[in-house]
Amino acid sequence: MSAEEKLLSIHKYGLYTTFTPEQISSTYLLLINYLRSNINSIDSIKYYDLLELQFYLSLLSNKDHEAKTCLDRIMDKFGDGDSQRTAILKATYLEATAGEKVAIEYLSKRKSDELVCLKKRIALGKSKATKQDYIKSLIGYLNVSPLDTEVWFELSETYVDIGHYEKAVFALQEILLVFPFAYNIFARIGELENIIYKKNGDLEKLESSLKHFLRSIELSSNFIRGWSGILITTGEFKKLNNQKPLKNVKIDYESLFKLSNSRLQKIISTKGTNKEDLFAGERIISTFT
Amino acid sequence: MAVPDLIIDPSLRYWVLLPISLVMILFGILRQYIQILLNPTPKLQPLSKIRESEHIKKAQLLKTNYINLPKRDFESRQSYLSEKLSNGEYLAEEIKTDDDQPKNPLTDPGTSDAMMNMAKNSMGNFLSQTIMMGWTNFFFAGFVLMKLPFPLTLRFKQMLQSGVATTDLDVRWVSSISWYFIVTLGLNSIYNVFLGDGSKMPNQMQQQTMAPPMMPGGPTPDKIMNQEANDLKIIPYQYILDDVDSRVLKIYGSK
Repeated sequence: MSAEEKLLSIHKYGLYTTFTPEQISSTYLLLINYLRSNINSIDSIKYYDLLELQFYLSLLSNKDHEAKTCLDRIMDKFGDGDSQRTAILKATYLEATAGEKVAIEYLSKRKSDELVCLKKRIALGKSKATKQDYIKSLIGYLNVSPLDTEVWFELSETYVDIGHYEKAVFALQEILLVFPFAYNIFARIGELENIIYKKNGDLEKLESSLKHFLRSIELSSNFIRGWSGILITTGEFKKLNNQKPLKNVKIDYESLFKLSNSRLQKIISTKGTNKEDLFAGERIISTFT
Repeated sequence: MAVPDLIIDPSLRYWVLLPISLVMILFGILRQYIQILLNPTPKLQPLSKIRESEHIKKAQLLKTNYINLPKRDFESRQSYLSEKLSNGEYLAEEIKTDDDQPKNPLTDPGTSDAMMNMAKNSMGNFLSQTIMMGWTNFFFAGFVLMKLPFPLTLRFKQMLQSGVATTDLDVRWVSSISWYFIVTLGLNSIYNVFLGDGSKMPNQMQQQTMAPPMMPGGPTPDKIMNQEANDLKIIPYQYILDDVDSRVLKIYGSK
């Protein structure tokens, strides 16, 4: 992949929001060098996309002045009267430099029909609002735009924070309706249902949790989270069976336990995924087997 | 009968050939900038419209991806969504029950906007062509401008000598109007040089033959919603996680 494609895909999918500090600084260097050497040949749509990326990267790495320069360049070209995209940039800049309150004020002066600005305003209000109010505004947003999976996930995590796991699972299911193969969401549902099982001992939930983990690794074979979930839930089944033989469980948890154990070890020995996950996998094997 | 060779006044080159070409290039650039200025800014969709279309899409997604949901969750969504869709809660505008016919696209304000834009665009093209051609015709009608350095067959006479009514003139002579047409067709690459980006200057030929943008019309949202609600009610339920354990053992187990 060329540097340009890489940078554009980072911009397009918003990957920079989940980057580690090292990744941010290396991407930033790549971007600066790329822009410097290709400033004349790059076409203008890509240029402003990359400038937007530079804006976010500079803000993330605490280079406020540079972010301001990028913002000014974009504003000079597009203004913020009609464009929600530039309004979001400006609000983000205000949030980082002048505080959330100023940013919310700026956004609330804009037209009320702007969906993206509404979303940003809700996000900005998160720290000040109570959980209930925050949930209420998220649901209000989802009533208008029920396909925004980002907001569904945020809603789910907020429900988890206040202990409403069933509702959190419901929110995640909405994501599965939009992205039917989201293996990470399957695993997350598995985790939440495992928590529900821990709380009330409902065996059905444990089974459903195991099944969600199974689906996640059916979709992505090296997914450590999924395999770990299988290891933990089948281990739970074994433990229960030792206490009192389980009769109406049809799943072959013994062989699944062995399978997940061997798969985890294989992934770890071949370094099949990223460092953090490998480390977590090792710890799970040592505690649960 | 052989026609004696013509001798062209060299000032024709400086006062006709070059001016036509130059004016056309400048005019094209001017038109480009006027078009940018006239380009309508994209209109903001009202929230109720977004809500309407997203809910229709949601029903369609539920119809295809329901296999991911456990039975109870699926059924609650099924009944909830089909009820809301059929009672029109998500509609952006009130339903008009009086007529069954599709709306007249000429009186619908939403459509007339799109038509207006289209009309503006083609009018602009048409006007600029007319003006330029009128200008050339007015000042340089009937001029013979230059001689092509290679022989051509008689069929090119129509193309190269429009506006000059001499049947015997050698085909290699080019009249002013014909020069105008030739330049019109060949200028795009020159615009690309001047305006930098090829993507901004759409090919004129393409512009004229371009299919009109999609016109609104078709079934109204309330009809679509009713349809979706009925579809939702009759989905035969399946659950993808039912036998996932045996599937997984089959995929990974043998190793």
